[in-house]
Amino acid sequence: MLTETVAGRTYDYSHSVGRGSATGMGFSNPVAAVLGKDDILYIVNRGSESISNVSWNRTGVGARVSQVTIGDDAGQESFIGEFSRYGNGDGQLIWPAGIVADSKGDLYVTDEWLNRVSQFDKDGQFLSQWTTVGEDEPGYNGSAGIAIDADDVLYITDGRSHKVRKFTTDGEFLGSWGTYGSGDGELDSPWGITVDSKGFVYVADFNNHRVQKFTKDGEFVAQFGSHGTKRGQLNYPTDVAVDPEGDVYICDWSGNGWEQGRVHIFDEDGKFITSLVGDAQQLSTWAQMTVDANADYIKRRREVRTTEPEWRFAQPTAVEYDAANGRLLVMDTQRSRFQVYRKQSQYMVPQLNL
Amino acid sequence: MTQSNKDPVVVVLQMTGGNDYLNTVIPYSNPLYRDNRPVVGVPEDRVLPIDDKIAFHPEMGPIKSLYDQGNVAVIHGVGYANSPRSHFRSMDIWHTCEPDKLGTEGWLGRATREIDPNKENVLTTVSFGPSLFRALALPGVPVACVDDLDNYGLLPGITESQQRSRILDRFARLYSPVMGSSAVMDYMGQTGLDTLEGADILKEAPRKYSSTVEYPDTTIAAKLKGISQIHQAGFGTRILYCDHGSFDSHSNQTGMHDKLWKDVSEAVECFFDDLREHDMSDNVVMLLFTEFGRRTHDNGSGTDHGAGGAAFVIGDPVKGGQYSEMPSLEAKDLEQGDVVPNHDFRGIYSVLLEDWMGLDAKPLVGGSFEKLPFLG
Amino acid sequence: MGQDDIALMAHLVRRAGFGATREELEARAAKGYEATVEELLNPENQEALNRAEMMRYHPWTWRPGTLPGMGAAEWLHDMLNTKRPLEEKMALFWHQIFATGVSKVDHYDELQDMVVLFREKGMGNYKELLLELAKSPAMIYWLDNCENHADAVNENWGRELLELFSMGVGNYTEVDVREASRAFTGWTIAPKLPRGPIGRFDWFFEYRDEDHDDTEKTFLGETGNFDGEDIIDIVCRQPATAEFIARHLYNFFVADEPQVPAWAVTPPNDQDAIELLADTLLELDYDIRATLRVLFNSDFFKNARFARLKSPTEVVVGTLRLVGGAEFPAPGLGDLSRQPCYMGQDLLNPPSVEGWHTGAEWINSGSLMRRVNFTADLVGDTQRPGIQDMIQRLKERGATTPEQLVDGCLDLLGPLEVADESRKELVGFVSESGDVAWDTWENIAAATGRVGELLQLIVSLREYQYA
Repeated sequence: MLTETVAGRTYDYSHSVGRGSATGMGFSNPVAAVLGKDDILYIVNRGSESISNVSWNRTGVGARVSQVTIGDDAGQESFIGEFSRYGNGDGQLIWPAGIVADSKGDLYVTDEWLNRVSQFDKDGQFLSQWTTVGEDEPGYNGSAGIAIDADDVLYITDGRSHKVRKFTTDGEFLGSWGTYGSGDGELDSPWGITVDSKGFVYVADFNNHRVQKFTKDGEFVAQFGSHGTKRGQLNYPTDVAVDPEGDVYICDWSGNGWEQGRVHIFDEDGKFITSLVGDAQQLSTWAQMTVDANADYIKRRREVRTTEPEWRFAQPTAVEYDAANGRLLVMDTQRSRFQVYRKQSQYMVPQLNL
Repeated sequence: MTQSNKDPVVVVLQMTGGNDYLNTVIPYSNPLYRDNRPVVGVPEDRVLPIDDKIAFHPEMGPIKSLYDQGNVAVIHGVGYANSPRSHFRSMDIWHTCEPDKLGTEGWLGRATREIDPNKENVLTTVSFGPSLFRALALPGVPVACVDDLDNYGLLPGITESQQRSRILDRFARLYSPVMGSSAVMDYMGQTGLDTLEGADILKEAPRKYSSTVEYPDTTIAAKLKGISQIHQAGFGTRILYCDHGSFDSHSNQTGMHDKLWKDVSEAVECFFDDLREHDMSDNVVMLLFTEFGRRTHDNGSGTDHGAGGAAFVIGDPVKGGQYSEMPSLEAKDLEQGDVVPNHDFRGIYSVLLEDWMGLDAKPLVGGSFEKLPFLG
Repeated sequence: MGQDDIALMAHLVRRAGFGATREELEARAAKGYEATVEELLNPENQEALNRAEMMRYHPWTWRPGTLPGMGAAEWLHDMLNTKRPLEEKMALFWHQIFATGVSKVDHYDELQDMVVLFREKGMGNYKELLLELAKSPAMIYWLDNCENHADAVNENWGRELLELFSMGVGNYTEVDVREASRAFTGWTIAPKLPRGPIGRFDWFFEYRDEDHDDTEKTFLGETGNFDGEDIIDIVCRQPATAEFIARHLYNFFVADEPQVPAWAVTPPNDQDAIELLADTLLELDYDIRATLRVLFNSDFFKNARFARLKSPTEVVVGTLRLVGGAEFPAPGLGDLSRQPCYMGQDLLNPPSVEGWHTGAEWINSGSLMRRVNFTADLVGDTQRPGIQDMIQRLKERGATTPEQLVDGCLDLLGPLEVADESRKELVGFVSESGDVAWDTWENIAAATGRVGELLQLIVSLREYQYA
């Protein structure tokens, strides 16, 4: 099922990029991505903890921001570089969670342990950092998702204080909304966030299993999806993206086992259209390099009855729409890669009895 | 300074994570090396040749100079049959000498029992790390386990010294024998007092020590400095064990491997300089080993788990040179893509135990294995 | 409620869980002993932990492959925060018996799945658990049943099933081992996608009929075309099996017994208790929950306070639950999960299939030092919520003299029972600096420091090593 077809649209699987790697050509638990200047995709790697005697890397391994280009097709991707690493010093990251780029191309990376935003230029040079915690608050809020609107206003979700906060790109606090709960406009551990072309804000309301749409001032507008494990139902939605035509993409862990994530697609009115489940039938170019260097992997891959488990999304955590190229990018977190789909609009379904 | 104890001493430096054999002892003139290492291969103009076929990794300068002085034995193709390519399993095999079943007794734990059967010295064997290496584990054989020599002891979290000595005084009294107490309470009491005593003795090592050698500020240098301090303090310690890593270079191998070998080489050089400065080097032999070598072919960024590796034995008593031979890189000779080990690691252990420590190696390593004459 | 109700409740939750704060002890004691036993025996009535939280904050804990040493991080967090303490305690119980390790399996994922199995079935029927275990990919690989073929029998699983997992040595012959092994031929693992470069994939049990020896076998005196399930049935009919499990339950929950290898020759310390438990198992067809109910409500259990040494996991989890502050899965969870290993119990990586030796064998100079240093650091951190609560209670009780402070701290840390000599030393220690006062901020700060110091000395006691 490399193509997901519904009335008016089709989503063709294109290719996947990445492999598990603590540094260089590959990713480790990628949790967020943004397209920046010069067609560069910046990928936030959460990394892992490990025993290590390497003093600069005592507990955290692989946390960093990777810079890659995607190319049009498999084999055209390239690794450009990477910056930042595990730590609590300037420009370092403990629990990197979200990333956006402003109109100049500067990058803002949230850290949900350090409760701060780090600003980098497009080449990864550290510029500044600021806390998201207000003076009269307890010491943490868990700044996770981050989005930016056409006026360069930043919207940040707090996974641990259940709010959306607005800041200027200099870190000046502009306001916030949200309280803990499950009613309209209330939030429970919100995560991914996006702003559509009309200025509406969408929040992946992780523990409430829904996406909420707000005005830019935080007025509740609508809810997308509801709790469940069937197609079109949500179970731990992690992120949301909206394309220029108004289609809404919700990245979701699904409840049918932790390795069967989905991207649910809704139209702008909240009507469910279809779901993507992951279609990486071919290993990415980088992953294939690893297999080629390991003779016994090649043999074992021949013996298995199906490679289907590796096609699917496993806890996808971020979805990004590449408007310039009409592509959808899905961060396939547990598989340390992202999968690329092409959208075609005005698609006519052929007659059924063909 | 205490009278130097000239009993033979073994220091083990375990390179955890699987050191890449082919980029450590590099077959630099072999075209198959170049073919297999398009990305991580070390350029010929960087390597440090030791003959016309083999060169050391560029960051191994300090070890190369020890080699040139005739104090480094390079042992090629070390391993065992049917390498499982698993860190855990392979390290276990190295530690217990049991490739066919799960072993629970460490080879150096057994050696410790032989050296000190009556447990007269709590410091016969010292392990540097947060937990005991399985190589040293044997029920009933005490091994001092030191994470950080400067902060070794009970209650290091209490930093105010008067407060600490007040508490430790009470600790000693609380652990003293009590009439009518249970056997387990008595055992714990004795263990607690031994612990206190061991810590008191070990604390002396850094205090007694002085040296003109300045170790670099790296984790491995700190461990080797600690080992040097213990050796020089004359506690009768015969086996000292530490590790460094991780050598698990799946990705961006070049920079990572450079740094690892720079740190190891500098620390080893300082260690021997330090011992020589104090005339304490003639009874010390150091073994460097790793649980496996890595794949012959690189993966575009690093190398994955393989089989055969290289070991090094370093020290003044060592007869330097190359031993065994580098296994073939011909595709037809590789096994699952790996160079095939041609020298059993238990042979190296046997030389150290028998020809150096004067013990009967066979029961300690579980058999007889080819011994190479690297100790003359 | 009386002081002894608290002490008895503390005893129950130390054994059937990992201990509790004083507030929890008081709430449970108010509910009553038997009601609490029922609550512990029926974990499904308590909220489960939110798995998604761990995957969100520590995605690496899911299918960690062989991430060095970090495979037990999620489990440790579960033990620290579960509202179903007996469920986790039973998972630990079975892990210590069906000891399977990453040292050979090399897939933490599969060992985690085994913990899930223990959690879900650990209080159910032992026979069903054995059958699930026989189909566990980790166990099949660990004991080489994947190498057990109709035409080439491998006895590893067959032997350990009888020796370590059910009857114990001395209750079967070498022929029985052979016949049991034959019955498990063809119980293997399907080929799976190899590790890397895009993470780990699950292993699955596979029964291969063509590799199964379906001819006649004679096992423990019975003859038939047995397969593995039949073997487990026959094994469970043996009184030796019930007694073996009873002895394990006793050793884990009641009091230290001699080590397993000695069981064939050394009788139990409390023969009546073992018989009661074994009879219950046989009569109720190996219903573990019902057997635990008998155990926890028995006098031999209630009278066995401080009769066994804490395992490293109990030291780490119990102390952390007491002092609090580990509820959120903060960075450093992996290192925290290594602490039991540093004291001699590397979870998911036992030294061998025999598991860990328990009781006094947990103690050597290295592990004792680790125990003392780890727990002293925790109780000396007076900012921790559990320590703050203790200080508040001491203040409310008006504890000012050395005797009052010592008795108060011993009470709040347990209640802990210590030898008279130990108490005398503790009082002597506090007396060196005189009474404390709780009247001014300055005095409260000084008293807090003094209490922290005393708590550190108390957890250094030998008595603190007992559960």
